[in-house]
Amino acid sequence: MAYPYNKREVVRLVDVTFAYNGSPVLERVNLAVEAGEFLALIGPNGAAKSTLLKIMVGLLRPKVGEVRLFGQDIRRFRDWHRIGYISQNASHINTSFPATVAEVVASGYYSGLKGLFEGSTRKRMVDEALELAGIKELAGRLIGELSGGQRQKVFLARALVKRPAALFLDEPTTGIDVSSREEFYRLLAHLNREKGLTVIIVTHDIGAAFSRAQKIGCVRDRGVYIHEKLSEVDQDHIAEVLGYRIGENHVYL
Amino acid sequence: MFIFSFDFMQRAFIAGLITAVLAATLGVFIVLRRLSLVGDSLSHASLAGVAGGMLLGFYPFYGALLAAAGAALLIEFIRRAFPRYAEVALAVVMSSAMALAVVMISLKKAFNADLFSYLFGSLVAVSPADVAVITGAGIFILISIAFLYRELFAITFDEEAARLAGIPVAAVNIYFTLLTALTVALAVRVVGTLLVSALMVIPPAVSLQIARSFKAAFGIAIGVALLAVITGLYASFVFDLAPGGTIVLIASTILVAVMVAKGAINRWK
Repeated sequence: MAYPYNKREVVRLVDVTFAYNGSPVLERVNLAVEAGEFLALIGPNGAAKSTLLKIMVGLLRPKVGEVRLFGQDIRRFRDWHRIGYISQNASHINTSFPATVAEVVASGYYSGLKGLFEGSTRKRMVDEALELAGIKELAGRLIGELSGGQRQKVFLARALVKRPAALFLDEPTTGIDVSSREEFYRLLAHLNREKGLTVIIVTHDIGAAFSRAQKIGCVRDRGVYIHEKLSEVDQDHIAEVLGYRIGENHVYL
Repeated sequence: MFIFSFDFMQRAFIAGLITAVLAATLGVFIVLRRLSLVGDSLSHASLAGVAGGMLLGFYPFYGALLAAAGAALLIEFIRRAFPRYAEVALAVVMSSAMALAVVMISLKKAFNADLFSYLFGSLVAVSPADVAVITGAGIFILISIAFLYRELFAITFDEEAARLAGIPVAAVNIYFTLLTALTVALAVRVVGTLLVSALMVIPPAVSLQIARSFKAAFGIAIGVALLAVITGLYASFVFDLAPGGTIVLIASTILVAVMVAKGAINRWK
């Protein structure tokens, strides 16, 4: 059934059901994210958070339901420059890969055959993305020599190099120390507020998610439950994600 | 350089140098994508093609090319049936191709010098027709890689991200596999089917030890491959050795020397 398209809409899922080997992990999920929003998706391990994110960007195709990116059916979507994506695997890169930071960031900018003749444009955009991610001084360093936190900023710069309107991140701070994590979230919040970038992030960092995101999406029981206020989020669900119940002795990081 | 007074040495050097550049260039992508065994499977398939060409009486290079290209597509097909066991496809194709080659050789009932030259490479066996084919196809492969450099880098580094950058990953992968098949078929003439994958793997392995950028990795791999081919061909002429084996032994020696030197420098630091 057709639905009215809101021009501010970045992604919309309509009655999406997804199954692995016949076992559904998401059932009749309906979700819409508008331009400029910061949505954090939280949930326990195995709740299909990453699956949900991959469905949004078209890496996984549900057999049932409809997925739209910027109003276009995901099966026909070709405006890849409008989205940036950081996968969970980014933290597990081959550290002996002989590539500089600038080379990795440039790989995010792709414009088909046209790209053969726009070397100077690509260089300018890479410089801008490095600047935006605050890692200009790392441009000539080998990717494998960087710390986890620096590496994540490189992947952020790679996702930003094509000047996307929306950023999709799958647990980008896994394995990163607390201060680098905090800095990474500050950067995301800055891009969201100052540049109007839509941010959709899968995370286990509940503290960071609650302090920066405008909306929290709890992924559980094969569905997604959106909350606009921290007080709305079920404490049992938070306890399930954290592995402990928040009490007087626990503070958000 | 008296060795260049011989026409066959001139041809061997031209074919060898082009083969070195091609094998090292594609090898960087192959090694980084952890597909080192693909070269082995395709070279075994090309031996079946050579045997088929000899059996049916057509130019063995065409047989090698057809068999390597067919094996490349077969590997992709089998890999889709066993997505979690990628090496199954390589083992099936490698052993089946070897079996086919052995059966065809036994049908012809001849394990002759020409076949031996395709197994281990030969200096005198490079004909003017071989040089023409290697030069033409070599230029085509290098232009293809230059055009697809950005796509291949992005896919090699992070296939998922490459897909979301809008790169047609499946099409580029199939085209690259066919280029690899073509390179293997070309390289067989100089280094032989049993050693061609070594020329694709060892020079890039040296470059991974010392390269400070992706572009530098190509420069180093090509340099090592050229050094191994030039010294290997020269040594095989002077000492009457099999060129394929000599080239690969020199490349291996360079790899070991670089690893030892790097280890010593790291300890000294």
